[in-house]
Amino acid sequence: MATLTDSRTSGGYQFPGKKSKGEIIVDWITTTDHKKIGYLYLITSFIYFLIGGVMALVIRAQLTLPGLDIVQTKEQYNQLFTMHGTIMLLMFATPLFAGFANVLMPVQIGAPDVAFPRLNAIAFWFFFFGSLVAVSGFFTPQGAASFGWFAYAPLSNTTFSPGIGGDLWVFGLALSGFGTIMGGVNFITTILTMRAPGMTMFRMPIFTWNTLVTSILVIMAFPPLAAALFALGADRRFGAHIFDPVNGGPMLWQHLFWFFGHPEVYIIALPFFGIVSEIFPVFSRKPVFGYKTLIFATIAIAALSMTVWAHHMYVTGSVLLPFFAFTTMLIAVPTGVKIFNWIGTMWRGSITFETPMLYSLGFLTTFIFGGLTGVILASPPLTFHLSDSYFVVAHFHYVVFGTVVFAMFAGFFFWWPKFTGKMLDERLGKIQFWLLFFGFHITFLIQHWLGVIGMPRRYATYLPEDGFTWMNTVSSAGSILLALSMIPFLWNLYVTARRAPTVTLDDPWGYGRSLEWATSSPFPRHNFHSIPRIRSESPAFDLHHPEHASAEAKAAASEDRK
Amino acid sequence: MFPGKTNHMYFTPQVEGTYMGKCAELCGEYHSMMLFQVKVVSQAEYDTYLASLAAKGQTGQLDASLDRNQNLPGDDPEIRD
Repeated sequence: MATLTDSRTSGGYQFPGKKSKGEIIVDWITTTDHKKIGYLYLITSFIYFLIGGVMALVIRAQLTLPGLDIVQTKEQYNQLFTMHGTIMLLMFATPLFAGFANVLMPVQIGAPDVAFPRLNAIAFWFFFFGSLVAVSGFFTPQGAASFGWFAYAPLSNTTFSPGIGGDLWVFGLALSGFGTIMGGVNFITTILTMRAPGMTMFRMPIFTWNTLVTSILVIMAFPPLAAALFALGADRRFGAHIFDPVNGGPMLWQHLFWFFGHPEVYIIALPFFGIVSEIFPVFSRKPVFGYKTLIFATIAIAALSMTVWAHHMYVTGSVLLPFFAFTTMLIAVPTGVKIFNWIGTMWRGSITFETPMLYSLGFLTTFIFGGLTGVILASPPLTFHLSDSYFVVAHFHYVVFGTVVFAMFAGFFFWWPKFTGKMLDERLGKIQFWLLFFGFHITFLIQHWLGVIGMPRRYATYLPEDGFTWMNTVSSAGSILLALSMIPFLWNLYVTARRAPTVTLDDPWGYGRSLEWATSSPFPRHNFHSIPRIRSESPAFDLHHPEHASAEAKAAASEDRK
Repeated sequence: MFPGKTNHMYFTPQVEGTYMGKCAELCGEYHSMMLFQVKVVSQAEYDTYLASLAAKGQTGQLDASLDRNQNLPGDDPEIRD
């Protein structure tokens, strides 16, 4: 065995002496360490998740009964749902991907850092300040942007949305988008050039594979967004006429926006598929079922996701319906392959239901619902009825919340000992899971039927005779339960930090597979004191369970002994 | 749905009655108040109604005088589709 064991007893990097608060702050804001930058991403995006969630609660409160005046004007309501969408997609889900990828991907490939640490830092600060600029519209007299998160022309021009909030939204998102592009470039370079000896492409963990594919999507999808935003900014500030209806601007905007917007959905889905793909094998005590098919399914989803953008534009009457309906339905095939792989991983495994596994199962059930309604919406005749209704709202919350939020908590509980050296409390985690699960489904399941009977999205209120009342009340009640589920989590963070014992094991779950489970908890400053031989896609499992190691790892170990 | 382009959809209503119509594309602050009603009636009832309008002299097309957006830059209602 090539591994040195003496250095692992030191238990992570120790600061030499106690640092003052000022030194700690300077240390964090000037850091180029991929893990610290990752934590900054995770913390910032989680704060935005809470802010966006509070906005959602106000939206639900306003819709509880017909004719309420929870928000003073309908303009404020429009600002709330616009910024709720913007925050949840571009300030929560996308940087959350960057956070998990930053912390974990270099460790999973056995690298000491990312390829461009300083680019990594500036990418974070672009995101940080860009997002601040975009939400700072709330502090201007006319309020934040109110034209919906997809900013359709001509509503987004200065004639119909004159406030400065719209300008802040446009330029803030452009800035944070550049941060995302830089992050994508960095991840691709790191994965291609900094893998440890023995870490071939087909030995990389699924999460790392999905980070690679997602980053490729980022560098394809975000530049069109940047171009579109700068064009919209030129329209708004310099009187350009790029998205003027007279020269077909609305269609141009919709094409540019959705050419970004649809891949964006997969940018925020694929990394979280990666997270659950790491978790299912560990709590099923089995290697992932169909490792390569899972990877090819990811690649196929990413490739197809670039060909489906106009399914958001069926009702414009200006897109080729059969083509986009076909490619959209085709995505269900590789997605089905993934679901088959996850179920196959659990099939006849010794499953245990720790919190990360519960959340992964919550992801799986919720995501399957969202995938099925996605196939319904891929069909143009059905979309003509359902477009811009609450059916669509329910669909994308099932897909995005099911993927991002459930897998985020799965990842937090799973990797918390690696992040902090302490395990989050399991009992609080399970209470939180069931609150979140029922809260989510009570809120959003009923919205499918609301959409079918005709409630349009983005309505600040509705009529008693519409017949939407009781379903909206149920949905709002569910949202309270959903909000309450954050309390056990925040309490969990607090008690874990204060009271939980420090983890002494490299792999506290016992059956971890990828390289992060072969180093100390929390990670040492440069990730590894020593790297085990990588002879399969489960190097940490080969190290900790030599009797069940892969054939290649056993052969290498016996060679070492000779 | 946006200015500069007219889309046509066809369907055959099967049940007589009054149906509620709603604005389907976010259009600004009063989006949720852009409501209308469509009445599905028998052919005879329809013909009678049209005849009553014609008797009041309400025939032909409206001019642009009720258009609230006549002054948009580059958007002359006379040439708009």
